[in-house]
Amino acid sequence: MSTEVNTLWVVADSSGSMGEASKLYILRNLINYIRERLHLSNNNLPFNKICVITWNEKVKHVKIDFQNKLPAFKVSGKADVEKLTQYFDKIPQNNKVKSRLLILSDWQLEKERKNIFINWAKKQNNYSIRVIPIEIGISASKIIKMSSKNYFHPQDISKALSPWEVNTG
Amino acid sequence: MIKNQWIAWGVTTIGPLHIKSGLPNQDAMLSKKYKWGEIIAVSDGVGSRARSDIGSKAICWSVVQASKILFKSKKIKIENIQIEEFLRLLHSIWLVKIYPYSPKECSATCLFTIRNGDKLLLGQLGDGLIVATSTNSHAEILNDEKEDSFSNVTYSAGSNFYFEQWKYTILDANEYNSVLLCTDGISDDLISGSECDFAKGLYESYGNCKPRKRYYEILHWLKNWPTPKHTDDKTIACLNKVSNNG
Repeated sequence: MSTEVNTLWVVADSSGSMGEASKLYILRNLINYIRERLHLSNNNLPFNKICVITWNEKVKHVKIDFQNKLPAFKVSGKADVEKLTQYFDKIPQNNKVKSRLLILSDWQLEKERKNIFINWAKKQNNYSIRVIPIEIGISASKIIKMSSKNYFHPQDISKALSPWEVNTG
Repeated sequence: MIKNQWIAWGVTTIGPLHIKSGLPNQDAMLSKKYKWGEIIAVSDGVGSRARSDIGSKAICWSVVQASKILFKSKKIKIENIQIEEFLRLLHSIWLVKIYPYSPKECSATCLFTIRNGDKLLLGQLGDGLIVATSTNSHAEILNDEKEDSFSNVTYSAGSNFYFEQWKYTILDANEYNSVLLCTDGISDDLISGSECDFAKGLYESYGNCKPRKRYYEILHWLKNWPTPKHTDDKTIACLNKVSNNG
C-alpha cells in the first residue's frame, strides 16, 4: 500500500469582498464537498490530503477534519497577493512532482495585483494551479472563456478535482 | 436463455395549485442506466420555499453524481459501502448544485433506488413512499411515518447533514421485481395498507408496456387524479425487472 502523501492545497479567499451575498457560503460548500469526497475509501481523487489556508491580509492554515463541523470563515481586509505567493514559495518542495493548488476566490483584486499573481503562476515549477471563481451568477460559458483548462465553475468542482495530472517540475 | 434486466421509468406532473399560482412543478425525477447498474431518484421541493424546484432537481442530480463517483470502480458494491459516507457525499454535492441559492430556499425531499449487481439500495429523506415488491409475498416499504403521530415535521435536505433523518435499506435484487417511488402527492392519497397492491398493480399494468404508451397513460391518470380537490404535484417512478430472451 502506497504511503506517499499527495496534498491538495486549498486557498480560501477570506478578504472583505467575500462577505458579499452568498460567496462565503459557496466557499464553505466547496470545501465541504472536497472534505466529504476525500473521506470516501474509493474517492477517485489524485490526492490523499487537503490543507486549507485562508487568505486575506494574512495567510493562515485552517484545521479541517471529518469528525467536526467546518470552522466559520471570517472575512476582513484585502487579499494580499505577495503574502500568498511568499507563503507557497516558502513551503519545501519535493521537486519530482508539482503540488496541486486550488484557489477559491472572487478575484476582487486590482489589475496590478492580478498581474503579479499571474506572473508568479506562469513561472511555477512547484505548483499546478486551478481556480474556482466565486462570483455570483457567473455562467459556465464565461468561465470557459477565461480558460477552459484552469478555471472551473463552482458547480463543476468534481471536474476541477479529477482528473488532475501533474507534470514533473 | 432468459436474462433479467432492469429498466427505469417515471412521470411527473404539476399539481392544480401550482398551475393556479403560476409556480413551476416542484417535484423532480431522474433515472440513469450505467454498465454497473441503474439509478432512479425522485424529489419533492418543500412547498413554501422560493427555489424548491431547483432544490428538487439538484438532489436528483446529486444522487446520480454520488453514485457515479462510488460505483465507477468495479470493486465497489452496495454491500460494502458505508451508507453514511455515501449520503454525506450526496448532501455535499447538493449544497454545491443549488448554487448560488441557499439550502433554506431550495429545501427538498429525496427518494432513491440504486441497483448494483445483486443488491438494491433504497434511501429516503422526508415524505413520499418507496415500495419494493415481488411476484411472491416479498415486500418492503419505506415511508416517512412519524413516530409521534402529532408531529407534522417533514425532513428535507437543508444546510446540515443529519444521518438519523434518513431511512434506508439494502435488499437482494433477486427477490424483487419492482421498486416504486412516489412523492406525497400520490402516497398521501393511498389507503393505508394498500401500498403494495398499488405497486404490484402498476408493475402488472405497465412493467412490459411500451415506454410511450406507459408515459401517456400514467400522465393521463395523474392529471385526472380521483381525490377530490387534490392540489399537489405528482411524481411516480419505477425500477422494473424485465425478462429478455437472449
